[in-house]
Amino acid sequence: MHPEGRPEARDVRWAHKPSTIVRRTARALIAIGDAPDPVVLRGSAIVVWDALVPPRTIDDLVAMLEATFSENRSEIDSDVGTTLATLVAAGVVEPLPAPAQGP
Amino acid sequence: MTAIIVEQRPAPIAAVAAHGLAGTAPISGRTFADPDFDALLDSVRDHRIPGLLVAAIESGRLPATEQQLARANGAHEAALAADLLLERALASASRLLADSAIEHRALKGPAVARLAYAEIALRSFGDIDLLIDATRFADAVAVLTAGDRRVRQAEPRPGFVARFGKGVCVVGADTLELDLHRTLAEGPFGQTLQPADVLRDPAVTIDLGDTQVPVPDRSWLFLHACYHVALGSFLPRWSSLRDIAELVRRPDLDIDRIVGVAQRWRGRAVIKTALEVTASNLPAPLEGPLIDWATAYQPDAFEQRALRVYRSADRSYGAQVAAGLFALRGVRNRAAYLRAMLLPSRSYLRAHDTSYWRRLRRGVALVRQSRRG
Repeated sequence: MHPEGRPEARDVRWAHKPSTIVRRTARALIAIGDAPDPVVLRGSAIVVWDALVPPRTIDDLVAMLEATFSENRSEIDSDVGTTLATLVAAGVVEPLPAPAQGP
Repeated sequence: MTAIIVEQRPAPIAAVAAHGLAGTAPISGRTFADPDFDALLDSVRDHRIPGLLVAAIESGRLPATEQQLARANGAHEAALAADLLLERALASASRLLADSAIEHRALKGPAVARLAYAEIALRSFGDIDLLIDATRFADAVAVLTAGDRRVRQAEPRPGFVARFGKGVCVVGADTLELDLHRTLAEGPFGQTLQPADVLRDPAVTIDLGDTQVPVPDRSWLFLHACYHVALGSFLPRWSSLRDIAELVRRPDLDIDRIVGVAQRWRGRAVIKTALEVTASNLPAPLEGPLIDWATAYQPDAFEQRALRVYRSADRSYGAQVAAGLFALRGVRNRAAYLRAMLLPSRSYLRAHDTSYWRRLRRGVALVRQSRRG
């Protein structure tokens, strides 16, 4: 992880951890993974969560959100990184192994 | 239907518990004063229905200030966080049981929330209930207490729960409670029902993350909900009454099977009572063929006598246990049951702060009382 708490590898695909259990309300998404306590997501963090199906790289996520929201790319990039770091720390998101290289 | 007289409850929480069911009226025409709203919020938390409170406010059926809505949302999110902690513990327990090939079914909260409610988040819960294969009950307790979890209460004599008891509560340092059930009720109805029937039927599975947890189908869940409402606490939680209302309206409820099983278990009066308790408390009309059946059904002599130990105002655990003696089949079973009740282990007596003599006197009195029934 980056010292500021954001995942630094741009080519890694991020995915929901399969063991994660979630609840949704009109305003929040609550998820529990490996960490001791559940994490509560609101607003754009829920959009990031939902965008992780299927698994995506940070660049894919940023491009997708840029097309949806009118924020500039650097702000979205920063938000995505911070949200991903929170989700990874909560044990509800994980990096997928890189696909095997061909011969 | 014949109304069963129960303690008067405040109307607002009853109306919240019925929110969203067909035929319900607006909850209040005015916004509650903060102290009244906070009292309602406390009750809603206790009765595991903060999701219904939020839904009622958001639908406009219950007017509320923005601050009150925020407090209701906070209570709902806290309840959901607790639900998730319990479901993670359930997933872990279910994996351990499955790894040891111990047949089990998750009951109540997590199962009913998924199979009966329009949205899972409307039904919260406070513990986990697991029905365990009685022949592997001791193995299940051993598997689930191999880590930091411990059985909370001692049993009267070694092996009593696995043979006669309703079950045990297993609790860990995380304070999450897993109730392991050998059967579905204490007392006489607990002795006549056959929990193996539930385990023999194919399970439905619910996904808790990547763990598939086996649960009974809706008809079994309904039957269990009836046992819980009719024979559990004299004043059941509103969430339990709502469970009945949700399940009874399901078109796939297999009424013939439910009534047939209840007849075999000598518990048709349990269904009738649960529906009466629900109908007389929840301000929403209950309709359907099962309601018609319950209205017409007349409990037999065994059921009438057995019901008294659960539904009388002076009900007690001791009276239910004493009455359970007469529902047991076979002299050896009765002798073993009586011995465990009257001559429990010394550690059990210490834990219950009593003596053999006091227990014997109380036991004889309760047995006489239940015979008079």
